[in-house]
Amino acid sequence: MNTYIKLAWRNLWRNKRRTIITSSSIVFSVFFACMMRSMQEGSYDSMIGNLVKFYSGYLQVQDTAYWEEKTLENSLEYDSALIAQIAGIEDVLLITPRLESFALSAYKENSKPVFVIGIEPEKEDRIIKLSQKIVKGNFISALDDGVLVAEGLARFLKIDTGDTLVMISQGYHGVSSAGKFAVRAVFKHPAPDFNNNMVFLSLAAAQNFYSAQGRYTSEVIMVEDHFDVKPAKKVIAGLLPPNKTVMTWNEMHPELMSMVEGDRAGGFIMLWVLYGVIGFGIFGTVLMMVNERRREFGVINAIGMQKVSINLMLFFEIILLAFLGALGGLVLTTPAIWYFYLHPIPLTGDIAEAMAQYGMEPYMFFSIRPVIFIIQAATIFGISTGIALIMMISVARLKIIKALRS
Amino acid sequence: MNILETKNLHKIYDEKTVPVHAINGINLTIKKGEFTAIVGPSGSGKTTLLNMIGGLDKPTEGEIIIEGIKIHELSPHKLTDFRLRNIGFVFQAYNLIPVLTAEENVEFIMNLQGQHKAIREKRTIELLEAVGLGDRLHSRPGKLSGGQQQRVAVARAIASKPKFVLADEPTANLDSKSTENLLDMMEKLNREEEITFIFSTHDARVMKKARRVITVDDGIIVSDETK
Amino acid sequence: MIWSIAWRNIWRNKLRSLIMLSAIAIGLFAGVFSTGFYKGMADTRLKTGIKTEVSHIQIHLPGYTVNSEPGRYMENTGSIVEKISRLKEAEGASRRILAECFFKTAHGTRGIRIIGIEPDRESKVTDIFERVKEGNYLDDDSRIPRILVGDKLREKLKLKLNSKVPVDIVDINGNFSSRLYKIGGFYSTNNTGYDEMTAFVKYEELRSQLDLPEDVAHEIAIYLKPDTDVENVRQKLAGEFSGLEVKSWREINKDLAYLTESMDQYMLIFVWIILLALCFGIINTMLMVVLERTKELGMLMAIGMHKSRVFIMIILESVFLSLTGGLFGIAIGYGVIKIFEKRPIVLEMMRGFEQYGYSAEVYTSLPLYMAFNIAGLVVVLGVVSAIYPALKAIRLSPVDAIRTE
Repeated sequence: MNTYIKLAWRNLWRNKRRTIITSSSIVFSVFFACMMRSMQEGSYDSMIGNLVKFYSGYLQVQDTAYWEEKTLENSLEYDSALIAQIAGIEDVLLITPRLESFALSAYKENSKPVFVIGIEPEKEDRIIKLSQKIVKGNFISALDDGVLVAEGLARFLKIDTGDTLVMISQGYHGVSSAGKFAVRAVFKHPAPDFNNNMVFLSLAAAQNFYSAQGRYTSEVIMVEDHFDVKPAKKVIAGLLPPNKTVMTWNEMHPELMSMVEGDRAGGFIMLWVLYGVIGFGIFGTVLMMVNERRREFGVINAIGMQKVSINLMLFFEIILLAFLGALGGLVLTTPAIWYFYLHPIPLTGDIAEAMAQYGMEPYMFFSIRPVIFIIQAATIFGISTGIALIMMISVARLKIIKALRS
Repeated sequence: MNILETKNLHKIYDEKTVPVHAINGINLTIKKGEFTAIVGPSGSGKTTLLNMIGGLDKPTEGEIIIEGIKIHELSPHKLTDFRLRNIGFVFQAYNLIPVLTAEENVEFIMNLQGQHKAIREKRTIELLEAVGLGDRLHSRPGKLSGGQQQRVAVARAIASKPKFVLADEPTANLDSKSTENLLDMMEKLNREEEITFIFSTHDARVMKKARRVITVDDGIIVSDETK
Repeated sequence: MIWSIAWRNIWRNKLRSLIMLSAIAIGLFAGVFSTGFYKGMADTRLKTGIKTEVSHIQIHLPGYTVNSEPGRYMENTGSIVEKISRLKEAEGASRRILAECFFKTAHGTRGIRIIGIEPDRESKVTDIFERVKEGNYLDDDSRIPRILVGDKLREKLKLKLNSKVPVDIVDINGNFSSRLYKIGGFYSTNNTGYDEMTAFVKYEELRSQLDLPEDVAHEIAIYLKPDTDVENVRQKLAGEFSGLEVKSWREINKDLAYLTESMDQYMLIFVWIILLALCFGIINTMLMVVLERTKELGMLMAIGMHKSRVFIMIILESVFLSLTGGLFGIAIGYGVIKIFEKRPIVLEMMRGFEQYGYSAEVYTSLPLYMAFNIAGLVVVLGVVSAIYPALKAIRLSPVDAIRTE
């Protein structure tokens, strides 16, 4: 075995230039593929992260009818026993109730429809880190009757901390509701959509406003990371009475997930094309390599080396070539991606505005998920194995007499 | 003792429509210790004959028996193994694996035979010294002259302790000095170690050295002289 | 002469050349096709974006686009609209009143953007009336005012045709106003995000609900005749209505302008990456060509062929190789794009893009000049990839070259 690897390695360097050019093509494709995939996954992670970590949480318990019809009529009654049970599940870090609805907000002559979320401030803060996003004013406590207003909304209404926000809406059982709320703080939400229309207040104040005492629309559940979501969902689902259901973050954002799928698929197609082109290049090179050496193969077959062994040597040669390229690509890519992962590239100008209109942060994010890199290495390995197999067939068909004469 | 025997050997190539009769019934026996040249003009069938007795090509008809084994009946895999253990080869040119040194080229064949490393190394050095290349162990073929390369090829051919060595025009690419040296060396090995050599040639100098000259033309043996 | 030598040389090693040719053809096919695909997607987005959402030009009171307070309205808009409608470049002009309102229904509440339009004028500007799936386009003169909502909002709030919904607004005096509207119809554009957020009522209804004075509007939208220079008209209007802010769709909808225009560039980058990938393969092939013809090249130089001609011959061979494969790929790509120009490619996995206004039914499109541009790049590819091998070739010394085994 060692002999074959040694032979393969030396054969690779027989034509240094050719080997360098071929492995450079692999370095190039791996580098490009990793960068592109990392940027794609980075931006999905950021979009999903904005939704999951700054809004929906990983899992939510809701009334079975609430998802289809988000009204307070489909809200839940507080069930401390169930909450305690869910909180006791190993994977669950935190569970906190919310009351979510809409309202028309107004300050002086300006008005705007807003998204209202009643929260248990202290617990919620551990999920969405709201207190860290405050740009002005102070975070609220559980019994506070004031509100936190998103920065974009505050700008539109020309409202500031200390001012009084008026909100009008429809409460539980269709009761008209109206209320005045002191603005305690202004916060900045990374997702532009939310930054323009979000209002937080304490759960108690929200229940009061919507005449929904003791009720809530959802229980937000936090787990360590998305790997824990599925097992947690299973356990939680087992605990729930028939009128309640548990939804995961990807079930709650189907449009986003579908867009991510579509975009990812587009990226994959581009990469397949790239790898296809690179694959042909490698194939051409290997073909030249084998054709040049037909006589040599004939000689070593004649003196007694089995074709299987020749093939094994050839296989090592091709795999080594691919390995060199893939390794080079990863060595080149990893530090770059690691750097950009820690320092996302800020975008300015038209592109930044365009992204804001899509509800995205104006940054180019990178992902360092190992699977991105593993897939590229595996693809290269797959391509070269395929090429090696074709070449092996050609060696298996080699006629010694003809080869010796060439 | 016969080490090689062919019986009524025929070879017909199916070249498109017209069949070409390359060998038309050759009966030949080679005994241990011979130093035999097969000669003939190009197209005489001499290379075909050599290929068949070397197990590289199969006869259309007839038998090739080496040490009692009908080699034309062996499967390709068994045949390769048979060549490895029983026949040594020296080709016209480009005999050696270019990425291996002289030493490694010789060792390579013993490696294929699965011999022990210590034995391999010892024998390799002995053989290369015997062919006069004790000082070029670590040179790659590209750094050796044509004559030196052929000597390494001879060393490799006998390294596997074959029943006989087949050399197809081994001197075709050599100048007269190198040719002389190579032949002297082969003769010496034949004499001292009783290694059987069968070689094809159209070089008069080579024929002169051979103890038996078999002349082939039109696919049959036209003369067989032993000196 | 060297042209035909170069061409024939390609076919000396058929298998190797065919492999490179197919790599180039496949690469270019993919490049051209995906350019056409994404360009088609962007074009559709641009067309529907202008036709159903932004129009070519919009006029507002200065500052309205930054902060759309209901109090920032334009006066005497009736005559302005009349005047603009008579412009020879204009297909139509329409004034609108805009408000952010609160929508209360039995199945949930929602904040939406409501647009007060004059249906006759509006239909000359946007094609919402063509996109009404059920009910009608606000042309029913009943006692209760009508509202036209998006199909996506119907889905979310389980709205029914002819049911009544209260629309809450704070008027310009800061007073709360709630008015009942009857759902007159549902429309659907390619942009589900837009559909979910936007509803239409009659100009007069919204004006009175907001307590705005007569003859005012927040926005005047202008749709121009095909092939009109938008910027030219914009400047003309900006000169005429000096107190107002006249903006083209490019300034209003940055993402529309940016993404559709940058799409060409993105796709060109993709084509470049494919070409770069191909470059490696061609360099290797040409290097092999030089290496295996060392003797022959030496002979050619020995019998008196100038090095510059040898150089050109190698470059030509590479260009022919690239161009043969490239043109083949481009032609097939262009052909496939032509096929899907009329019947769309429907991709279910693209449905998610509809929320952002990109239709999942893609009509491919590629202007011929872009295909030629790409063909030009292929020539560049051929030349660039051959430079290094050609340099190697002319560095050979004739005597050594001939002696080479």
